[in-house]
Amino acid sequence: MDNREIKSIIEGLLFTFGEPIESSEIAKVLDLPTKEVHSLLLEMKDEFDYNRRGIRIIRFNKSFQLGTRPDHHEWIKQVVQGRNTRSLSNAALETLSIVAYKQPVTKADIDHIRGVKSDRSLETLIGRRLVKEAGKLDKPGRPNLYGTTDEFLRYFGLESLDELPPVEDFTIEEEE
Amino acid sequence: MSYNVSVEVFEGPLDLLLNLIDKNEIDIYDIPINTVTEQFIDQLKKWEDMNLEVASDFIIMASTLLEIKSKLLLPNETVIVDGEEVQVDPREELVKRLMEYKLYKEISENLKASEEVYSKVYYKPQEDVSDFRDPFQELSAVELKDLVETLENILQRHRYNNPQGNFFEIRREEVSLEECTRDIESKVNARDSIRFSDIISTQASRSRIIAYFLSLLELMRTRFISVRQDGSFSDLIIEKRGI
Repeated sequence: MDNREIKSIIEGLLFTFGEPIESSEIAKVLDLPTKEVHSLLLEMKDEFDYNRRGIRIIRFNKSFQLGTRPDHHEWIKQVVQGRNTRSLSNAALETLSIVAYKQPVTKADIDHIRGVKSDRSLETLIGRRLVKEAGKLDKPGRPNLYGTTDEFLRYFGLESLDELPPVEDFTIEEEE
Repeated sequence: MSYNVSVEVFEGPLDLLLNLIDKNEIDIYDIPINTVTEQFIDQLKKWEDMNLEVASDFIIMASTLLEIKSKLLLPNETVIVDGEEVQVDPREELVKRLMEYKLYKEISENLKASEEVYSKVYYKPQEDVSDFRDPFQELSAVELKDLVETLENILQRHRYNNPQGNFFEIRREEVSLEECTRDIESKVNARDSIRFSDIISTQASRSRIIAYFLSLLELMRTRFISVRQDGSFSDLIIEKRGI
């Protein structure tokens, strides 16, 4: 099989599967090394973008998924009715920022930084699968630690956590 | 008439403080604590006047501000760092917290912008391929032997759950009114007076007792017997009526 054919099969797989699928899963189906499939997927992703296809290949961590282009929303929304797009509250976004940058982090740390209780926000974030429990802190009481999920990456259009802008980008230098 | 009341929403006391600092164009590293404390407490009072419940977090912050304010009136505390006397600014801890909170607030605004963009992406749910599946293919590996074994297993389990293997059916007892009426008649005829408890045995089923009681009522109606009772809940005494 040449790469052209393999890519073609992968495209069909991504379409049928619909949901995020890891490159290793696809590799198993094709009986090819994961590394090879992964780089083919990255090539495909570029090709889709280069040809300005209406479908993008979205990558986050090791998962791939087909999705539309955000800039086509204006037209797509006209044929898709009653789509539920609940955006996150400011409280939830603040909580999520702290989890994303300080993970793994305890609820007590989040509360301290925000100056208010964050139970509700955390619940919302876990319910929307943006945040998950990530072990327990080895301190008295063994409090839960929280971290972000792959869904978090997808939700904010990130390929990996490395793509989060560094903290230095936000601290405004107040030179005199 | 409708009123439009706009209430600024703050995510917490730190958010409110940052807002006051912004409004007054204050240098965050040199907060005029008097002004800020005053305005902070004014805001809490405003909320109270509007009958809004002020969260305890805000009250704690107000007391922290007052504490800092009082500390500033006292001579500065000094600590020795690397052999040098360093003055401790009572505001330092608060400034640190404010800066950290400010950082995450900015990050969250950045995330909000990404959310706005990427909520416009549409994904496709997983394809339903169940129609393409051949139901007989899933059975092709099953042989008669497997079926027999499965049946044997089920029976084995059944026996295990019922070790005695003794089954009997509990039948509903059928009592006819005529039978009871005839029984009472013959007993009353024999003895003129009889107690209800003598007619029915102690092991009589509920339906049997009811049947006898109904017969009794029937016999009273036909004026064959009369029934009396010495007190509430005491035994019924049945007597044959003279015709």
